[in-house]
Amino acid sequence: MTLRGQGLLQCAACQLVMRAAPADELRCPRCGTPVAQRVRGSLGTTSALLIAALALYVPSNTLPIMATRSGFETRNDTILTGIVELWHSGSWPLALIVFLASVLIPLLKLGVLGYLVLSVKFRLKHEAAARTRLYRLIEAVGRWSMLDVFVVGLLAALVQLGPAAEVQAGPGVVAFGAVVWLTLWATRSFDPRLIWDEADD
Amino acid sequence: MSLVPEPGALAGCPVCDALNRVPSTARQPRCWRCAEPLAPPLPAASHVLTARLQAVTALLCVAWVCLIAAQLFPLVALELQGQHNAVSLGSAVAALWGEGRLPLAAALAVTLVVAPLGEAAAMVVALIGLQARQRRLREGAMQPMASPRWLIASLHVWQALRHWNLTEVLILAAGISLVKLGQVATLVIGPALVALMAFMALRLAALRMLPPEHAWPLVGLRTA
Repeated sequence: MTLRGQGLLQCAACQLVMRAAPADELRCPRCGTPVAQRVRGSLGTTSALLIAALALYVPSNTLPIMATRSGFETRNDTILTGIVELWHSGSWPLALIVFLASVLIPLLKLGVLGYLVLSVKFRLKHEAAARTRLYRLIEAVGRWSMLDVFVVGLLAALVQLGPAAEVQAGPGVVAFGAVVWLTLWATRSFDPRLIWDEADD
Repeated sequence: MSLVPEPGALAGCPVCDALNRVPSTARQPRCWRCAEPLAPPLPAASHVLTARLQAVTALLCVAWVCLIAAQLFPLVALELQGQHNAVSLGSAVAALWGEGRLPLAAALAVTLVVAPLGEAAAMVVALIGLQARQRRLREGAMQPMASPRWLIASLHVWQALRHWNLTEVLILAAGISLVKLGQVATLVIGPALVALMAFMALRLAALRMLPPEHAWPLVGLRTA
């Protein structure tokens, strides 16, 4: 049995279950949030944010995220060369962590959200439980993608020793941060109940 | 037309829309269809609930001490050829702002300063309100009564800021920064990083005992 099947509504903020009569404006009697059967325009919002994130994905990987100068040497690192450098400096467990956070998780979020949006759009009926698990996965791990943004932020603020050593943030970190933020927002705007609606009908 | 709340034993799954009947004895109920954790029923004995709220308050007080230390003291320090530089969270944001990295400075300020402080403040206000309400209910006053607006607002703020508090990601980022600079210079861990770790653990413990979704049923209806 589902809430929708029973003509019930649930508040998105405080999860109060209510029986509603049709009206123009409904507000939760407990927390005052506007109540709707499903998040309004969920698919459209998620798709728009996803497309914006996809557009920024290319510059976020090709532009340098960090410029390191020590002495007369200057090196520009993108996300990938940063990981390779970390691998060569002998700390492969950390290189693996950065690879997971900066490469795998953003790709996973883009891929899973794209799949979820399409599966709802094309009214896929089966595997609802598996799709819900995918949604929970990207919701849980998404925040860790901010890792590289914080590393660049910390180093750029800290390493300001004039001619001896200096770290500058590159344009890539802004693009990458925007991808992370857009995908986090896209994940939160997606209403997972849509996954189950088709199977329920 | 208005909305009529259903009896408390009925719970909706926020993920898959399944209707659940939560038994009053369930300790950690889950949705029958998608296994999403649901808000547990309120303890029948009010002293259990009071003790729970007091425990969360105690955790929160210690967490605040750690949070203030984490904001004020240096996070990491750098030593190279006799030169020395240290940054705290606030001075890191200020330094990035000064270098003209405005989006980066804003991202750090929101996720590491505004969200943690705002969330922790909202939790304090929410716990004060919930405990006051609990005390009045225990004294047998007014069974159904509306909660003050500030209590409702504090729960909304808590829920909204929870996802933007990324302090645990910063701790890992500081570790990676240590290794990245390892060959070039010596990086020293500052007291704020240790305080931040303690804050993270205390906050997670508090959220485990009382997530905001579980706090809402303790709030009365406005239009009862």
